Amino acid sequence: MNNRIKYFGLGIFLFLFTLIIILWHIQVLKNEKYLLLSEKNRIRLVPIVAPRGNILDRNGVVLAFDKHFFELVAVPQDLSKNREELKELAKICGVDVEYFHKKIKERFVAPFYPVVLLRDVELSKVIKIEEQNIRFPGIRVREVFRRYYPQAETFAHIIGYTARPTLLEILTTEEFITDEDWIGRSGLEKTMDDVLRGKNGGTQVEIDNRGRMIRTLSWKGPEPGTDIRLTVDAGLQEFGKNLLAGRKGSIVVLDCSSASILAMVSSPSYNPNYFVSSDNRVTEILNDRRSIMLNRSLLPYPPGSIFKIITAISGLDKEIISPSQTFQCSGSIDIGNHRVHCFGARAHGNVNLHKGITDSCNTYFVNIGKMIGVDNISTYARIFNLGSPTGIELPFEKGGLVPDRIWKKKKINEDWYTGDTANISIGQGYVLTTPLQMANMALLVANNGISFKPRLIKTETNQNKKVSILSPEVFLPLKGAMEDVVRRGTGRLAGGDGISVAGKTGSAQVDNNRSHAWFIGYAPVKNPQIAFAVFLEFGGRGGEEPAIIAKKIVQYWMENSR
Amino acid sequence: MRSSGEVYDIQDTEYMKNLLNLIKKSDPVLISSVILILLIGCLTLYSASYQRSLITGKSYILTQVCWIVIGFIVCFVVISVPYKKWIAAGPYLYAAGLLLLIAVLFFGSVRGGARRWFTVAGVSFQPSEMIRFGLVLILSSYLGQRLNEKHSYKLIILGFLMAILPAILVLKQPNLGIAVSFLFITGVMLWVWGLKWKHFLTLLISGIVSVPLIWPFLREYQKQRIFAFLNPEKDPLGSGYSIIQSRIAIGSGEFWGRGWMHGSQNRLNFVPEKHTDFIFSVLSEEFGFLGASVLILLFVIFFYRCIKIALQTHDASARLLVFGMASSILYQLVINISMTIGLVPVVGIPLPLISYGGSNMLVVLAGIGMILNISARRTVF
Repeated sequence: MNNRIKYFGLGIFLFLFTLIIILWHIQVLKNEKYLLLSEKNRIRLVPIVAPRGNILDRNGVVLAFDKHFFELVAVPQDLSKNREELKELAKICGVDVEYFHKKIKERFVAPFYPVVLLRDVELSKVIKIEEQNIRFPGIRVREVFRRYYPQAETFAHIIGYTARPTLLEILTTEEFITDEDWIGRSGLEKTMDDVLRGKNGGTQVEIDNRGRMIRTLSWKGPEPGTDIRLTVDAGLQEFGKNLLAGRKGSIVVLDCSSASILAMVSSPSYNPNYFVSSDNRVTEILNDRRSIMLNRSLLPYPPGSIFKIITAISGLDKEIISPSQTFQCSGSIDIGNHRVHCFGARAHGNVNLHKGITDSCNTYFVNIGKMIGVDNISTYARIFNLGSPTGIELPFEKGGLVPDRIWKKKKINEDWYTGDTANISIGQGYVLTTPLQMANMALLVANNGISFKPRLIKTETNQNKKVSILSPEVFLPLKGAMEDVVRRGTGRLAGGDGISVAGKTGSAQVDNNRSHAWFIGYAPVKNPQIAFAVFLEFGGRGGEEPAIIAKKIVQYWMENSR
Repeated sequence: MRSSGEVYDIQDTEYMKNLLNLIKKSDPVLISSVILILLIGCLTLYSASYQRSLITGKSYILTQVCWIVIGFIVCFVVISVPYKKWIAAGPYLYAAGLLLLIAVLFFGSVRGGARRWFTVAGVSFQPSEMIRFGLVLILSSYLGQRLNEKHSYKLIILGFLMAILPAILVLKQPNLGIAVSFLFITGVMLWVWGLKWKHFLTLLISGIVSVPLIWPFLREYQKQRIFAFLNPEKDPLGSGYSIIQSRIAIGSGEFWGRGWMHGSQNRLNFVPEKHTDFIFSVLSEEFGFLGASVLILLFVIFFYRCIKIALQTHDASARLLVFGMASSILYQLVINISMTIGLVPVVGIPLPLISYGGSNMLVVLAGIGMILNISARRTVF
């Protein structure tokens, strides 16, 4: 019996010793895990949303800001048991009390977490509620922000819009955001979201096992977002928008000294305020068959004749052609198995570079294009920053397309034909450019080879300057010709009335009956201040409406720039 | 009561003197360990019940101290009566216990879906606690007188029936934890008595085999608790909640503890049943590994002394009695702590000398009284 007792005693000690080892494991080795879990248990954060930074134009006109609203909220744990006060409150607000009960049930997070009963409460009601606030325990009126875009449609494609974050975003965003935040969904609101958003603050509260707040542990104020100043001129943008009213197209105006964007209009446009207020008109916007949410300034289109500038420059710079060299034009030329007509099927006769540009002679450019070759043309197109996005501070920018032998082999698995070269030299075929790229091309010509990265956000210094390898002299004959395009050539409608503009028209054939219309250029001719591109989708001839629009833009700028 | 025989044959005035004498002769180390455990228990209970007291307006700590005082009186009464008389009274106490267990199934008050308590004048007690006392006594006398019949199957089965009978009645309440405790105590006593290995293993295996047979008789919540024990993360807000929150409380106590009255799991009510079954979690959170180990070490000292007392006594029945009482306390200690750290499913077993509750405190202190009783008389042959 004695031995058994001893064994038994040993058993007890071993077992109790094991318990101590297990406790050591939980309390000392794994302590961090459990400490973290216990903190998670007891600490919650009631967020204080940081106001978003404003967006201003170059002159300080406000384009986007946080508008203040009043919200009626209820803190479930502080509501009286019978919820008598809700009835009275509902009377003041002019709603059914059941509506409040429904909201509290639907939006309940935790007893300490305020539930929004009513958004956009009118000031008169706010005053009424605040006057009697002792009678409404657990009820509070709080001020909230909502993004507002005073210019509505005018800046939609530049500024974009904001919306509430999705649950996934709330969970995955590294920064602390809540469902009361506004997150940029497109435009600058999207690309500059980090800067605009600021840092949310919050109140750390200790809660018990039923989620009731016990006390406040700490408070951290929100850091408001930073304001953003744009290079855009609100007046010019508005003017441009009105010029494009009812049409599909784009106007891009750049400041020649820095490639700052003075205006970037895309038409048709939408009202970004609809997204913010979760208006049901959002569906209308999304379902609009004109694709009004697309920023047409950043979409690739065939450039047509305005691309002849690239062909000309590559020939001149490579010294393959000279300005005086002439070609005979009979009104059309055969490319592969189809015939390309000159404008109006008119025979231009003896054509040199100057005449080729001013009259936009296809025959001339097909001929010199064949001499220059696709390799040269595509190389120069890239020197003109085509074929890749400009890197503007907007999302969804397209790079367009500069085709070459390698691209064609890879993409279509075909060799490059002379016909392809002929097509590209007049801006037809595979080549695609965006209106922004074309405005930037005009700027490069105006500056004799100096270009910049286009930008929307105003900064103190411009470090985006690019000097191309082109010799400045090659631009002289071209610029003279572009001056004459407006004076007596295809772009006459852009000139007159003392307006000094150089430009180039373009009509890019899309199918047998329709073509996109372009007009690009710069002004004034002697000392260029602005470069621009006007583009109309299925707009017919570049020398007609786009030229007229360009003239008005230049006119507006000359009258208002000082 | 005043019959002839031994120390009992004395005058009224000398009763107290004699009692003090007996206590002096018993084990001071054991008494000290018990008093220290009770002190730790009161401190922890104060912290664990502080908020509950504010809400209910009832002082749990005061009630507990009252029970401790009553418990000590019971303890003295137990000591003052020679253990042989207690052993002789065993069958009666056992029978009375069984009757009460049957009665409680019909007349007991229901709390939390279980019919375990008798409530008299606001004071409630559990007959299942009392039957344990009776069971240990009856087994001590039964086995102690039959040291030479260790091969008798009849004897073993009869001994085991004494445990099974109340176990079935307690399962009806239901109270799985206590029902199993009867089997554990009987097992320990049979082992110390000298049950053959072969028989012991047979009992053990048949016990294990009968687990699936018990399964259909378990209540849904008991099954839930066993599932929750096997995988607490599966239902963290439901049946797994207690285990998870208890482990968090223990783990976040770290080495030194969060400090008395400073355990957040405790203060914010994340620990369930924290003043009764889960009081060890509160103790571990606030006093840390250090506090929890000190408590276990005090119990180690306690059991060490119990074994010493058992080895020093030459009366087989007394020896069995010490083991019966000690193993009843051991069972509670081990099951309760294991439950709070998730080693066994959650069963309603209080931590001896610490958890809030009167009947358990009385039975534990009475059991300790019985051990001291033997300790004081171990030199008396």
